[in-house]
Amino acid sequence: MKMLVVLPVLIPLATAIVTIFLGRSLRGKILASLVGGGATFASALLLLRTVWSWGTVVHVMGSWSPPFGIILVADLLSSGMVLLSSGVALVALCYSVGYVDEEGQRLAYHPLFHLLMMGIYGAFLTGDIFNLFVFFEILLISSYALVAFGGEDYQLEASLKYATINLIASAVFLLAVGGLYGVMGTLNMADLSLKIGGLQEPGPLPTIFLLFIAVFGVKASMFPFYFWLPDAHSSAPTPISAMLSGVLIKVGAYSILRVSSVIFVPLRPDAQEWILALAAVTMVVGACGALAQSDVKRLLAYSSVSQMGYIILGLGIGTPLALLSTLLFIVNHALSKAMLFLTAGVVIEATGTREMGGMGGLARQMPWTAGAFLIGTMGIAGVPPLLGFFAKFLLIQAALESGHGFLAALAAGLAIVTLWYLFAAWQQIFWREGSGRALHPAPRLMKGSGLVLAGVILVGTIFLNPLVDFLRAVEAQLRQPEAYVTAVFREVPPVTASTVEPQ
Amino acid sequence: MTTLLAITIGVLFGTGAFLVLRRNALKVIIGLSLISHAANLLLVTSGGFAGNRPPIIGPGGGLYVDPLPQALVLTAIVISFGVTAFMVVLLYRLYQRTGTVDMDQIRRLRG
Repeated sequence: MKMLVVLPVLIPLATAIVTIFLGRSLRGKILASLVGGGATFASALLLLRTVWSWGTVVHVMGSWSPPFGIILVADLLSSGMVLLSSGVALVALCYSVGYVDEEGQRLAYHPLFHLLMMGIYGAFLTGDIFNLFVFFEILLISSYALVAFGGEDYQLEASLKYATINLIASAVFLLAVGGLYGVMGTLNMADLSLKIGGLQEPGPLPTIFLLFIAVFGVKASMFPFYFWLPDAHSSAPTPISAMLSGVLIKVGAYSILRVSSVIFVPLRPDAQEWILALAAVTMVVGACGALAQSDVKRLLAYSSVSQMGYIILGLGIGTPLALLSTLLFIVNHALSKAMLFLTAGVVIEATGTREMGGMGGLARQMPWTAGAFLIGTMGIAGVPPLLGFFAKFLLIQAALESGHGFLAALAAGLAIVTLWYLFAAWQQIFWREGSGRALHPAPRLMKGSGLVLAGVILVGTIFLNPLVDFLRAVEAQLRQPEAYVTAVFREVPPVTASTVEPQ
Repeated sequence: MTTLLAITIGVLFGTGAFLVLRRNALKVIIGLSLISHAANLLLVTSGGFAGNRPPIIGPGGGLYVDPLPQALVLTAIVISFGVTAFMVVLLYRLYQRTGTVDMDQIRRLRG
């Protein structure tokens, strides 16, 4: 049963290796890749089921006991995130088969995609802060390569920019890890939680905490570290845009959530003001940027920046209701934004342009795609009865209850702006008088993938109650770091300072 | 010894930051690798840098230095090596296509 925690990391790695060694056989590669993606999704489902009925599952790698060895921990949040991202990944993978040209698929597309997934699942599951760094690097270097995959000038430039900012962030991550190790003498999250909880004086820990927030803020595109995102997310091949916007930026939000709810629990109030202020600016900057775009993919990318602002705002407020809304936001944004990118890709393939001015009147020719895009638009904008509405409603309510009236008003006002720019985009692409140009029909696989995600959003809306119950359980677990620590050290008792004497 | 290391780390960070702000993308990459070297050095010092002590416990016990930061640094060096190599290749490809490494001339995407 404990092996289940390792599977979401192991299967993508194995798939990547297999797809490298399949040589130039295209069918074999696609088959292996899809089987790997499906197997990962199945293992994520099993993992979540196990965690739901048996509690947190911990696997000690190489039987080196914590705090020395690396452990993988699956609690409800981790396994839920793994399930969500593996679902989106499977859809994006099917889409890629239709989208990426044959030469690209023969070369390195499939191995890179699975290595990206391995890094993401590993980052969700690890219980060691340096191991988190390693998994971050795995997912980052695969995503640099995937952003530049088409080999066009603008893709290379976006990838270079993206790599530069993230390499600096990695150096800062190392600084924070070094500082943390120097002060606390351990890097295991559960062990850190215990030791920091028993500390009288915080010492340099608040600074280290803010360094971590800044590093994860780069991944989560928090202001002022958001400027790489519109370039990277809009230049990447479409299925990769869907993965980056749908899943990868959530890794940043997840890491902020993890360090603030497990490791730095007593220090959370210190960082709150910073997080709230930066989240508010992120929301505004993203929304203003989106208003100004005429390129559909850039518009969606800026919209992601703005929505990440909402997610981080909920994290910053930190009340149970706010955390619940953050989790709903994460689910909603992962599904809706991935779907919007995928359907936008279908439209771009059909019309041959990314400028919304060159489209128009497509609702008649592609009614299903228009419908799917509309559902995504409504989901992100928060039109009732879709998931996004409840997420925004709960967030505004939480902000009001915790006495942040201004932030509540800002969130509500920007919800209207979101509605405006997304519906304007939908209207421009699908509704108004068309330019009457001939369309190249996109492959069925591409159209179908977007529709599957739209279906998932509708199912999530219909079964809202079980979903909210599950997220409530996740949020309740987040408020009890003691349970996390107990689960980890139930495996192996903590080694006390007397048995090991450094230096 | 610690003072010397602190100065070295500071100089590396300063030079790295200066180079990252250049327009020439090759200098940016060199600057990035200097910054990651500085971070690695800091990681070594965080475990208590103790000159010639080995990171293992010898046969007769004796003094040793905490081996964990050294293991971490080895990992970090490998990662930064890989990423730097990737960036150099990326830039070379960009140079082949555009004929320049000046970011102001390459720049198409604006924010």
